[in-house]
Amino acid sequence: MSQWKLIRARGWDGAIPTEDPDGRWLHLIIDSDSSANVLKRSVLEDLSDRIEEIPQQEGIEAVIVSSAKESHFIAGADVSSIGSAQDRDQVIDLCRMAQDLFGTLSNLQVPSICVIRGTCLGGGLELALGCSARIGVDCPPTRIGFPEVNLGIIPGFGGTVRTTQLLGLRGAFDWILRAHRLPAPIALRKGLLDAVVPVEGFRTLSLQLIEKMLEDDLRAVQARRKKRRKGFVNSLLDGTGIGRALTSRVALKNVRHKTMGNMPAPESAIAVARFSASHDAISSFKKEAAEVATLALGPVCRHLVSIFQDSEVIRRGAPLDPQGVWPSNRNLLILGAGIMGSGVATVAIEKGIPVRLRDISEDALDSGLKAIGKAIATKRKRNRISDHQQSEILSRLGHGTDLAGVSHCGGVLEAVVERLDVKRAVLAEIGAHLPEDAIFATNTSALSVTQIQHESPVAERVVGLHFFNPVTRMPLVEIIPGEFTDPSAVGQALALARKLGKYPIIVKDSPGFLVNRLLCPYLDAASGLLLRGISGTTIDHVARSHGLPMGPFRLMDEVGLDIGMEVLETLFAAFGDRASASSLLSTKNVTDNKDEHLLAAMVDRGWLGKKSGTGFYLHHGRNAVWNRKLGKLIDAPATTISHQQIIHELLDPMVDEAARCLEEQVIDDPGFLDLAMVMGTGFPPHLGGPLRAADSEGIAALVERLQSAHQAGAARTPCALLTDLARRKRPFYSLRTTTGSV
Amino acid sequence: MSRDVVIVEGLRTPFVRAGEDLREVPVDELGRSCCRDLLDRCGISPAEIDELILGCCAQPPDRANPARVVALRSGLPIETPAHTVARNCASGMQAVSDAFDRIRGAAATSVLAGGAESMSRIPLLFPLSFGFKVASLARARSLPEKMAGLFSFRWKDLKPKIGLLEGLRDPFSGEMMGNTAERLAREWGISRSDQDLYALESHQKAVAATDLLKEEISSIAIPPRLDQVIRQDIGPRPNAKLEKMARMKPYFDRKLGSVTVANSCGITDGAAMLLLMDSERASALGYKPLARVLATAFLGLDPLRMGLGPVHALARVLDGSGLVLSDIDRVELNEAFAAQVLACQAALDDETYSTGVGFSAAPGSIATERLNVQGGAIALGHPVGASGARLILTLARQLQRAGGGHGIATMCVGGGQGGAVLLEGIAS
Repeated sequence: MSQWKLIRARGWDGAIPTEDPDGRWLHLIIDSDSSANVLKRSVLEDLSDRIEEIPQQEGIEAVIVSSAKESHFIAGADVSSIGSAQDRDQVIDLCRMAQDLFGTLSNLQVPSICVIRGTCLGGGLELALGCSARIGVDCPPTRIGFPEVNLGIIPGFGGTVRTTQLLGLRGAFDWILRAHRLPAPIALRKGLLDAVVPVEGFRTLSLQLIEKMLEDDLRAVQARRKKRRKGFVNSLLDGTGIGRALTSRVALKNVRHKTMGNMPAPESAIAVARFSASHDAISSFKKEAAEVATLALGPVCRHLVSIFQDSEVIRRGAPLDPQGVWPSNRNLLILGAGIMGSGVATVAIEKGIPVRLRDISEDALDSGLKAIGKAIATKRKRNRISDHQQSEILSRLGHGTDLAGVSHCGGVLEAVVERLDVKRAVLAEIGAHLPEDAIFATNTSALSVTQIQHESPVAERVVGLHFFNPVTRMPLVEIIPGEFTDPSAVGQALALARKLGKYPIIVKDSPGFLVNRLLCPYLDAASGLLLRGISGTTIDHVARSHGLPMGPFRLMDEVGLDIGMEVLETLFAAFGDRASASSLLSTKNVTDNKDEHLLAAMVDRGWLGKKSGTGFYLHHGRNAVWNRKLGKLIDAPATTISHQQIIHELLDPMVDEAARCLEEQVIDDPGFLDLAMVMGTGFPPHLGGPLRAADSEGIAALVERLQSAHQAGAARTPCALLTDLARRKRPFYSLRTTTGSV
Repeated sequence: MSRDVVIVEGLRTPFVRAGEDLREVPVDELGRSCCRDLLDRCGISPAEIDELILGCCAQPPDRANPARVVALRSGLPIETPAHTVARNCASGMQAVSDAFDRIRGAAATSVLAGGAESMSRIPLLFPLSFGFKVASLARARSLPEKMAGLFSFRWKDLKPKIGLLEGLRDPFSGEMMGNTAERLAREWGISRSDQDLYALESHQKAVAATDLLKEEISSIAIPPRLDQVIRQDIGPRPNAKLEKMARMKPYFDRKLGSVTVANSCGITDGAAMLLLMDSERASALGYKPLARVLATAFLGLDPLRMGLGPVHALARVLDGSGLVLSDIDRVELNEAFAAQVLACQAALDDETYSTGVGFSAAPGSIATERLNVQGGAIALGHPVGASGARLILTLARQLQRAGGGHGIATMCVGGGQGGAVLLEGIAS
């Protein structure tokens, strides 16, 4: 079946209009057999055949490009084919073909006008850019943008070049480097669309608009585009070589500051755009295709694509996952207005879930409310939301010190102090009033869900929901079913997490769950290095340039050393065997008091991290300088080792611990483990997660390093799974079951 | 047979002097805040509510029907209708009275009723002449026409009127409400010192009842930054002194008057909401209501003596109830002015006046221990649209604590009316 339809019609009376051989309009409609329209090779070939038929049509006035799908225009190019590209020439060929194909759309005998309703991303937008004019339909599903750089490539079907031609360098950088997905009115304001129509009766309205455009041969459209690029600053920055060089340099500097030079895609987007601004179209297209081929065959693109695919599986949910729905319009009762409670509340009210925030302490409630108000006010200040939206969002929030509202809530999220007896007491109190279909989610980072739910009359509805700090920014949620948890409760928890826009990953109820458990050996290794006399700022710097969002000591300061110590102690109690010589909790080389370990010594001094102003760093507002007094606590001569070695010593134990998690089935799939680390800790996505990074580096070498470290005195030995994989020369991803995407 | 109507539960926001902490909070936000907490407190499904009625006296220009905004923002389903009612000072009482009628007549089963007022946000008004001149300037085409239009403006066109004061003016005589109180003070011979003493007692009673009042208050976090949470009334003054009050200048009649800011009600922001229900439905849902509503009454009188409204309304609401004023255990009489309350007391004592309004004999003034026992509007403030609902709420909670008895909430209404609601406590 053909994926594109070419229909001549008098009007536009439906997704597929009634055919009329004498009609003035020629509709080119995509209706692929998959749920979303995706530009696979076959779809492009089919489009090429249809376009060839167009010149035979006589007496038409315009070609109208649209989609037959309700909420998709074209979702983009085929992601899996990008990730699995093998042959450079093949990629170049495909890109050149698409570039030319989209180009012919604007060189037909009549203008081609694209009517965009629904998602129009990547390749879809590139196709639209090939048309003579673009009309956007203003409705919630309409999202327009280039997400390519997030996948490690650049728009390669002519998008980079055409966006630069249409909007100039600054406009192109805005669209391509920031990878927004914007609604139609904003795309109109930013110049990518030529007009916007409301969704009700958009077909009739679009035809009226097209007729009007044709009256003056699209001159008004052209004039609008030209006017946007007028002005002194524009002509200086886009019209002169120096201006373009300056614009590109600023963009490059910003990109490097953000990516530490680890992401090649934005940098090549800047290069292609700059090239195309001063060269002819053909050579620009060639350069664009060549850059895409280089990027697509590189490891970064492969890693980013697989992470994206895994994240899509998590976002949509696998068919075998426990099923459940979050009841719309029912309240989410959040107990505990601390950082986590107020963080979840902020996200929830933004996503349309009414929230009742409860805390026994008025002071805690006040500061929680203040944090929420501030977060929403910041959004208003940045113009992300309007005044009306702001008051609408805030009106979803209720607060109080009593438990009013339990009997009609859709679910309870408990984020009280991290103590088993307190959590059990809260559950006992709430359990009696909990509606029959509501879940009790406990946000714990280290306590056992099974122990919390044990002997509760509503045990089957208790489920662990571990959010990460800051909740507004971290996309991961660990879902922890306890021993007595019913699958339907897990399903409801998954639905809640998705409603909050988070990526829920189910992990086994074991100490530290997944992410914290893997962070522990890493932080521990960092402290080990520090106690051996290596400078803390160097360690942090090395971690940063490796791509981690912050160094280990900065991270500990953010989390709070007292909290960190609690979690670490729980974990070390559980995994004593390989933690017995742990550096964070060992007293070796700590000068102060021979019975105290480093963290305890710091906590004793009231150095709790960022919240107290002093930790590993001294914090002054946004600035932080290394805490020099720390040197007095450490009894070791200053030494230096290579950056590469620092990275190995930091990450090797993490990989070993990850292998143990797979062994113990804390999580089954290595792909989801990697995803969890990327989304929960900001592990550099261009490395694909700790396991993918280990795979591409070679497991055997890693095992060797761990073994030699063990001989040098470290407690950790490589686990059975790791040595087995090394022996058989197999990667982690050979363990992957069919749930993943590869 | 008409149905039995009960007040299931009620809550209000703290009452805060206008121009202070709540001045940025729109009226629908005040209503929404206590309405939402009320729904939570009752644990009722929002779908159970048949309609919402909100009393609001000075409806903001950008909210043509604030009740609807309160309804949707507090989570009622979009199918639930909501309307706003106005009867000046008794708007909130009117909302409750309407809800009572709707439920008694079986047109509804559960109704949220109350009032909300943001007196801080009553706008300044440009004179109409300003608008006319702007309009004619906009129509001007030629330069001379435009110049003429521009020069037609006078200073007096630009002098704004304070909307709040305009609202407190009697529309018939143009007198301020305070002047009507002055008239009562003169007619009934109420001295300045009596007024000040009454006002002082109001403050003392409210301060003593802080904990009881807290039960009816739901705290409000001030949007949009939520950086301040208000948990109690800002009005009652624990350190009020008679000497200080005596030193204040009369506000309305500077030379010969006796009504001062200290012995009048405060200008205040706040909201109060009640859940009224058919008693059978309430017991089916397992509620223990606060009180039963027996009757409501509104009556008109001379606008220049509007302060005596309660006397007329009391006579009407007791008529046919089988009760006399001395049977009533608690009376909440809105303290618009101390002079006005004392005039009402004097009128109830007066044979001629009270028989004239419908009492068979002079019922005698209301005993102090029955009247406004938790203080009144002089201490707490009088957010006009909300006060009626607040009186009923306070009264219902008193009857619930007493476990029975009868009570009347009554108030005078600007423009010459009186309103009253008769409640009966429910023995637990």
